[in-house]
Amino acid sequence: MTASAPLQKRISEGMGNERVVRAVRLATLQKVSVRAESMGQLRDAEAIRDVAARIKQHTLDHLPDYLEQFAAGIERNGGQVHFAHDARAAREIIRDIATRRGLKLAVKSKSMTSEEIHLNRGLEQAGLQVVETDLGEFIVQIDGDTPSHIVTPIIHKDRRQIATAMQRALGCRYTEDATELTMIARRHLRDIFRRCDLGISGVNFAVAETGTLCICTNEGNGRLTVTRPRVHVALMGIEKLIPRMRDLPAFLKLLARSATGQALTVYTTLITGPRRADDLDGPQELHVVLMDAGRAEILAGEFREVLRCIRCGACLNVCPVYRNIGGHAYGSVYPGPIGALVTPLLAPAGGHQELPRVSSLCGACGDVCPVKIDIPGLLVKSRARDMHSQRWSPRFAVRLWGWAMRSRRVYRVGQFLLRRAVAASVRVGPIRKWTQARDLPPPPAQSFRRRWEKELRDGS
Amino acid sequence: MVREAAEDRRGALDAFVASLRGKMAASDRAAPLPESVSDGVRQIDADVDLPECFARVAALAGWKVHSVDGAGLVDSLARILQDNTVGSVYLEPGSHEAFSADHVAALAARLRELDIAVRSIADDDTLFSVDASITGAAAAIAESGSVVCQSGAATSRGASLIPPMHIAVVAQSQIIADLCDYFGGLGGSLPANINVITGPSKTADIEGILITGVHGPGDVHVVVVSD
Repeated sequence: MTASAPLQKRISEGMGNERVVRAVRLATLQKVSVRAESMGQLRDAEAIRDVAARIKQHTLDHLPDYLEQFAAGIERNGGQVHFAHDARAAREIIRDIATRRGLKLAVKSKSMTSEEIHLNRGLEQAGLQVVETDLGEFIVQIDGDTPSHIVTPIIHKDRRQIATAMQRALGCRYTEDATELTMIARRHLRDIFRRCDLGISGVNFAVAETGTLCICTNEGNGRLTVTRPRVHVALMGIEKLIPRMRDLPAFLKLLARSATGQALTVYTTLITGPRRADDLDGPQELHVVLMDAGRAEILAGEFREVLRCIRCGACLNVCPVYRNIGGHAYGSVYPGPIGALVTPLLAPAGGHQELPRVSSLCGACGDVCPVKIDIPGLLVKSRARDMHSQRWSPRFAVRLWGWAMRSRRVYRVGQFLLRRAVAASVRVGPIRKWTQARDLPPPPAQSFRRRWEKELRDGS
Repeated sequence: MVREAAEDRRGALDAFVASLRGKMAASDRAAPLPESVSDGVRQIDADVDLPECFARVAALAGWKVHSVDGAGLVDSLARILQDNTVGSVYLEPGSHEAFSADHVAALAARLRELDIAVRSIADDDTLFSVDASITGAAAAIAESGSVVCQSGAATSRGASLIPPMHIAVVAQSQIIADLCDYFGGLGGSLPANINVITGPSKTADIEGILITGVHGPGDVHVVVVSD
């Protein structure tokens, strides 16, 4: 069951880049450690996971009702609701909002949904300047790169690369000092924040009861993005809804702990409409773009629970596969275990059907998911669904194996041959490359069965 | 024209919701909401010493915590500004009586004596140029060491965000125990913008190195006033 050439190549490239593997390993191990410590500080982390999972599942099971309630709430507070059937529709809606108002300079806070729809390119083609303001995303943008982790986008970059990118793009002096680099970015972006007229954000949680957007950030660029420009566009997948304000704490107490080990992100921003008539500042218009883009199909099917995902990144951090191949190997906006699962579901014709096999099924992801998505179980289900579309040779191999296992004689002959084949495999055959970096234990002289029979016969 | 567009948009969403209902009807799943969303989720009980808990957790979160009584507030604020060599400050009362217009007037007079410039209008020129801002707060949360600031007729979004240093004045009676209590109590009409602020702005995007004051204030103080 070999992966397709492009996926195989990306994986090899990812694994072969020692510097990136080292950086990813260090960062993910650190995150695993702080997550564990932070979750351990909760009185009963399991109870909160359970509440969060049940709130999300209930919301998904009743999503049509909550969508209606949410839309009514947004409009009641003076905001405008848009529905986008797919990525292209979302790009067009946002582009039209901008061009109809003659908006020129857009600032963006971090939004995986906007990456999913390749929004920036769409807006730039319409003549807007689009500036990413999350530090990691800003560096990705000026370096013409793509993010490799859903929470820490430049986990794969070191200071040298960042310094080089900033000097080239901003014309500043070369410095590898992290504080200086950050202050250079801050000054550059502050000027942009003063002049921008469009702010585009994502949404972490959308409260149906009140029509409120909850956005969790750390740097302050998210707050500036949703308060400085005269038009704020919030882009969200339909699965971001939760029923009521009082449902928020269960998620807030898990999100930051799962992502970075913090109790809460520095800023939890709750937006209910554009500025009021007598407010001192704030956007004049709020547009909420609700996007389907494959989610309705998932909702209607047997994988509905994957839509509980709150984008914490804990499953990425704990995954031994992600740690060794890096985010870019997955070839998707959503990498790691959740990405391997959800990518072929969101885009069934996108050529990602092998991603669920990019997993050792160790189960660590399911253990850390704050909303208890059974990622390992669903990966297996996804693989099973894909069996009928696989090439004939793996299916044939499985049938052959089944036949061999059911016959004692075939089994014994097979064992005999296998021991010889294993010994020869280090020198010849398809797994020779696999053994170049791994040691195989020498096969025993006698099979276990023989020893068992002998020892029973001789009496021990 | 605008009305038509709104109806079009609504039409598209309504059609989608109807089709979603149709698609989902077949599967017949309907998990209930858990009976309680605070049982097991609550971390701090209301009978805890809230000011002590808040001060401790806020300090851990990166706030510089000062505890004063009402009479000493103006002196305290002046001293914090002096200790941090602040040359100009934006003062914004109006959230709560803990930091009222009277306090601001007294403080302004004091700061004039100390040659610290006082600004009182929340425009760009002010917010992007002052060294610090002092505001009240809508609430404080002990569990997380958070201060809640919200928008209103007298309270800007920018005051607690743009200047590099922010001082929040909070009365002891404003301290709420747990996030469950705060969100459980939010209802009715909400302001357009609420921020639950937990420490200084920060990032660890560059090689995991923690850096504060990225875009929001890097130096944050909370003055807890005993009533």
